[in-house]
Amino acid sequence: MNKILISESFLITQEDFVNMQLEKRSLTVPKENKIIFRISGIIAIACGTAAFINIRDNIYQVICWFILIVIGCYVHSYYDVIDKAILAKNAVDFYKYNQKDISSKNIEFSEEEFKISDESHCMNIPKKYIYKICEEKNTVFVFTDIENFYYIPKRILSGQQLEIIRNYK
Amino acid sequence: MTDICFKNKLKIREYAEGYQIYDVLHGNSKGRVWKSSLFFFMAMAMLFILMMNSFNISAFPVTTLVLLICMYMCSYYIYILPKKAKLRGEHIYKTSRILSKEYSFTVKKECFIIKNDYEYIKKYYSELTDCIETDDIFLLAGGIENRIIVISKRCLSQDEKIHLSDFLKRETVKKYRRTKTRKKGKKNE
Repeated sequence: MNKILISESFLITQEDFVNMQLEKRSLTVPKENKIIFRISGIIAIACGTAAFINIRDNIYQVICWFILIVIGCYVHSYYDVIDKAILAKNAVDFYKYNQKDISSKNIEFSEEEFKISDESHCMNIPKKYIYKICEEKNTVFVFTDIENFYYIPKRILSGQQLEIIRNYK
Repeated sequence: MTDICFKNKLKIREYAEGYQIYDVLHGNSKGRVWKSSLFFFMAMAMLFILMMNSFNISAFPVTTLVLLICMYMCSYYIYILPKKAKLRGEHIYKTSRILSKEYSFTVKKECFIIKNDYEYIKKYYSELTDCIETDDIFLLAGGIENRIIVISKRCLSQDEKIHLSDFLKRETVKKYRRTKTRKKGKKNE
């Protein structure tokens, strides 16, 4: 007997969608990339500042050092501020563009399979076919491979249901 | 119009090709041509500086270093990134236990339906953002899930191929594109 463990319905809001996109990014971008960007930014800022203080023979040099500091700030804050803002804006635009196609989703975790369905899509994934389940701050991701996934906003899940999902795989 | 129905089973090479095209259009490889052009022109500028100084590399170490970095970045965007996308496509196919399953594909007037033992997808043509045809596949992408759907031409008869191609061209007017495939690396079937 395939016992149903969790059964819920929800509608994806704009906030859910933006959160999902941002959290997906933090799952997919390697930590090394972030570290390299931050360190490169700090080096550029430090070099630019040191040169700005010590070498100011003409206005062109001052402009060059200023540009170096600006580039350093850009690179340093790329992942934490710039990319995040661009991604959030794109997610809002994407959501608004596809809003008419969004319908209520039903999810079901049972002992043998995970089921997610809406008006035009239905998926029954046997438990053994789930690649991994990742829990982030606002979203739970159910991956079917390294790239494709289904997401569930955490706001619809109770503490007990979250515990079931954590122990599901 | 009569519905077109056929069964389809993807090979790793076909999915990787579809993923690579999608990556170039919307993924990490997006804008690779202008990015590589930018590095190419920077490399040319550095080369010009070195040339004006009789290629005296020891006197211009920073210029030489920038030239090498620009050359690497240029080749990275042109050759390495698309190759990486293809490898990622292959990796996705290998890690998925659903993509390799046989599915039935039904093309209707307003939508198409994909069905297999685990999945049922109904997509309207208005949801699509891209419809790309190559020598081997049809690539459909779009909708809130933004998933890519790859249809192998291998499983279609000549008439079905022409019929489907004409139909998709008509239904996805501005989103339809025909590209040629480079016939290389078929060993991964």
